[in-house]
Amino acid sequence: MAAGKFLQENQFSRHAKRRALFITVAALFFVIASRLFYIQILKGDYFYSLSMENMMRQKIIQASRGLILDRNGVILARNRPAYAVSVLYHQVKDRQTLKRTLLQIRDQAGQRIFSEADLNRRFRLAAARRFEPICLADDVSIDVVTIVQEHLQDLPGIIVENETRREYPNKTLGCHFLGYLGEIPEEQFDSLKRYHYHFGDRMGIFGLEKQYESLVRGRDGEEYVMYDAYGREIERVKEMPVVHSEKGNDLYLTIDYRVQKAAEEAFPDSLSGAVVAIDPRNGDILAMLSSPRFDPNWFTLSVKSRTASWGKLVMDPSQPLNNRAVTGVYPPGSTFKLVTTSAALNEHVVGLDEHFKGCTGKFWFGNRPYGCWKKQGHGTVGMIQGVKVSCDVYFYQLGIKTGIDYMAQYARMFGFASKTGIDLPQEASGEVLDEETYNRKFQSRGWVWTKGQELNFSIGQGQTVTPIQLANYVGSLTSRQPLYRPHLFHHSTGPKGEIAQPTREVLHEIRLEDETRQMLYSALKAVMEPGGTGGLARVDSIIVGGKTGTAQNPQGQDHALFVATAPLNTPTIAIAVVVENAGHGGSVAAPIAGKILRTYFNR
Amino acid sequence: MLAQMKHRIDLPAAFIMYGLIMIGIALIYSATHLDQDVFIRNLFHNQLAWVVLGTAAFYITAIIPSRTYYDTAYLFYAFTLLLLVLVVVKGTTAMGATRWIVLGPLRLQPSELAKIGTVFALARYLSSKPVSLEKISSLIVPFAMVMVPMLLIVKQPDLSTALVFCAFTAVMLFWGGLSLAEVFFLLSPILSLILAFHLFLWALFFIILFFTLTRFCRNLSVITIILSLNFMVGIILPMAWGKLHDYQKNRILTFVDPQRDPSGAGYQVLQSQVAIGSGKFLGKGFLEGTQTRLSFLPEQHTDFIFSVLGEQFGFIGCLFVLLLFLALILRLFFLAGEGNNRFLNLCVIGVAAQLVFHICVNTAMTVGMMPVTGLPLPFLSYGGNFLISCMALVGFAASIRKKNQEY
Repeated sequence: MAAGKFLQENQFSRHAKRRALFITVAALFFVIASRLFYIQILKGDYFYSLSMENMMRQKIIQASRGLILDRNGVILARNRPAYAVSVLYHQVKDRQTLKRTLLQIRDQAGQRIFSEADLNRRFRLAAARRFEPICLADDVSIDVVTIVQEHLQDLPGIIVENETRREYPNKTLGCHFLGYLGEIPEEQFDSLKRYHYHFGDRMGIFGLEKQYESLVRGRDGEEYVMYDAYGREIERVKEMPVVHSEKGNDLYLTIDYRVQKAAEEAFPDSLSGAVVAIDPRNGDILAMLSSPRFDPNWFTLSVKSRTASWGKLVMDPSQPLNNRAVTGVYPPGSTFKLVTTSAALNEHVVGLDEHFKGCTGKFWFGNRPYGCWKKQGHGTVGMIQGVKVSCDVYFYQLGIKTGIDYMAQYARMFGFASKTGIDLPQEASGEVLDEETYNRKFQSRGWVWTKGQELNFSIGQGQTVTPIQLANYVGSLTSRQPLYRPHLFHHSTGPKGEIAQPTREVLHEIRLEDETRQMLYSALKAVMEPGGTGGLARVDSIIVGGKTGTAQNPQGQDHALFVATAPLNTPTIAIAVVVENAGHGGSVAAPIAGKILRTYFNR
Repeated sequence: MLAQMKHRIDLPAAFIMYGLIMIGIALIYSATHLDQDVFIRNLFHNQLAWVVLGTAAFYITAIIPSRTYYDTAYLFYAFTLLLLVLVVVKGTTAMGATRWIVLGPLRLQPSELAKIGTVFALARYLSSKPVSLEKISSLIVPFAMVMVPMLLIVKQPDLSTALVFCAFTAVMLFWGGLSLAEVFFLLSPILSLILAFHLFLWALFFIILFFTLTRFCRNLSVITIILSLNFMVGIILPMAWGKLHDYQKNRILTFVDPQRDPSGAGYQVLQSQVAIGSGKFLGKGFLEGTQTRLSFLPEQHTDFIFSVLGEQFGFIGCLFVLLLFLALILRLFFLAGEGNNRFLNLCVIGVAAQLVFHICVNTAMTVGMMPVTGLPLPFLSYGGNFLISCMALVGFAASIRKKNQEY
């Protein structure tokens, strides 16, 4: 027995401590008993009525989503009030009766508001989320709201909720970069719940609405409300915590509404294609358009009226939901000739006044003729004249002399073949092949790089680019600025804090010698002069530089391209226009660019 | 049999305990008898089975001689630690937390065993070594002893069970030699954490702490450590918290409480309050609860059993049960003050402290005075592991008088 190891307790201190513990425990129990007294005796009647009527529920105060505005404050996306009819499943007494009653409700046109199949589906969902309001009919008209509200006592569990809907006042204007909202997919919901999303919420699923979702989305408020037997709101339940709603941040874009509108008007809806206008001094996107367009308001309509339009959009073979300005890839055609020119001059492959074999409309390479777009030929041309009239034969010879490596290297320097990193969820990178990448890509088909590819490459037919890359590229030719990352975000204000415009981000330094730049200047300018291919984009008293292009399209008629930048010595705007299946760039694409430029310069 | 038991076991304590258990079974039946799920409807059968097992545990802990407890205290402690590590390595996950080891049909929750093991080990250590705040080194071993299982449980994560450790450790240290002031100093960082939400209150607390510390404590390094700990918790933590992004905060909060659902939890507490409050003075009567019927409270038979009591038996019923709990606790304190065996007394104090913590936190939660935590109510809540461990603890404590005579 190791009793010696046990310390004998000191009787006195033990009893004193026991008394201290007695008192502590008794005090704790007293506090709890007092609380019980408060809620059971003092507030018993109140809680009793709450428990009997069961007329209390959580109310979600929808926070309004931030606006989207252009750089001068013109509203591009806003919110409008709307009503929804929802069900709180735990208050439903009899599901079948409720369903029957709901099916009887008709709007003024005599149309049923609810369909049986849809109700069944919604009720199943509601049974799994019994404490959350589950939407049965969204964006209902005010007369339906009146009918439902009159019959609330016959519709236990049914509530009418105020909500806001996204609205795009300018309809299709800028729809591709603005994007649209959609309901959160059910499987994603649980992971989003902790970011204060509620079931049935909408979130950005395309364009800027998606890209800046966390910024423009506000935080919904929550409170608990008591209802009377008619389902009318009486008062807030004071015992419950309140979460105040917080508005989302307003988003200001680099877009200039005037320029965007001019572009939208200049580009006919019947044609497919894209327009991008950029400020080469910082990468601000002034206008961005893709055609055919869609109306993002369709996505915020009620489920019923949405289904039809949605089907049409998805099935449309011209793919209106595709933002061609950043995800459309096209051969650059003759607009690429300036890359060839830059590479040749900057690497001193040719002299300034070097003349090649005259153009007869054909150029024989090996045993194959490569044609010039002008069948009757251009005769002997120099470099500036070659760009001005876009003589293919001249560029074949220039390309062979420069070599594929230099051409591909300069193409990459101008930002081709890699994503620009624009702040939109999707972007294509395009492709610039050189000997090595070509052989790797087509290895499975057994194709091998031939010198003939170099000819195609030099006139822009072997590679693919996106309109945004084209705009960025043309803006960097004479500007003495690096290539900036194009972006739509200008600044943001709101409860989440002021977010200033981010600093310009350099994609590539443009390493061109002054002589090269001067040569490019003259060539771009010459294109716009009488006899050049881009005359239709001229602007009074502003020196505009440009280049037309025609991209061969194996699937159909050629695509028309036009790139322009102005004022040519210190550019503040650079434009790329692509019109699908429209033939020559000079006749179709250049006038569109011209209209945009004239609006931009107030001419 | 009863005469034999009477000799061995403190009858008042045993009677109170069985009384509470019977009330609990009635309440579990009341909370579940209308459920659509047959399994839920029959839960009170399970609880009855647990009571049989618990009675065996109660009897076994009562007849084991105190020498065995003392001798095996460290061994048992090491064994429970091993089980906790096992949970980390290959435990079963449910509702975002890994707390269980599955043995065939049984789901063992080692944190329940760890609570017992730690009480015994701590009691053995404190019974032979004096502790004092003046000599910090004397506190290192007991702290380490508690921190190891605590951290393993926090990792599960099960913060509320981990807090039980803080509660009984503080009380046992108090019994084992620290003064009230010293216990207050030790617990002050936790108080700081609670008060940190209100800068003014915290500052007031800090000033009081400063003066009491300088008044009662002579060891300068202790003063510095405690003050800087409080400062860190009260000032730097909230500042760091403010710097965090919303999603990071959410991540931490979800770690602290995996079942966290800001709106859902508030709703539960309110429904629980409505249920209790609507019982008024006399209650709606057994099986007459409306809140129960409408199944507003998904966990009414476990964590929110007290709201069933409040609704059906009113203020009178709640008071009666609280008085039963109080009587049981005071009886245990009384027993702990009687004998001269320091180890046994410390054990009983630790057991009583555990029960107090569970009772207070759980009832305070159901009446809306505390946030929702996952702590069940002893003897009343449904759940095998917790019931058996509670019964075993009381079995041990109620036989202390006989055990004292063994020396």
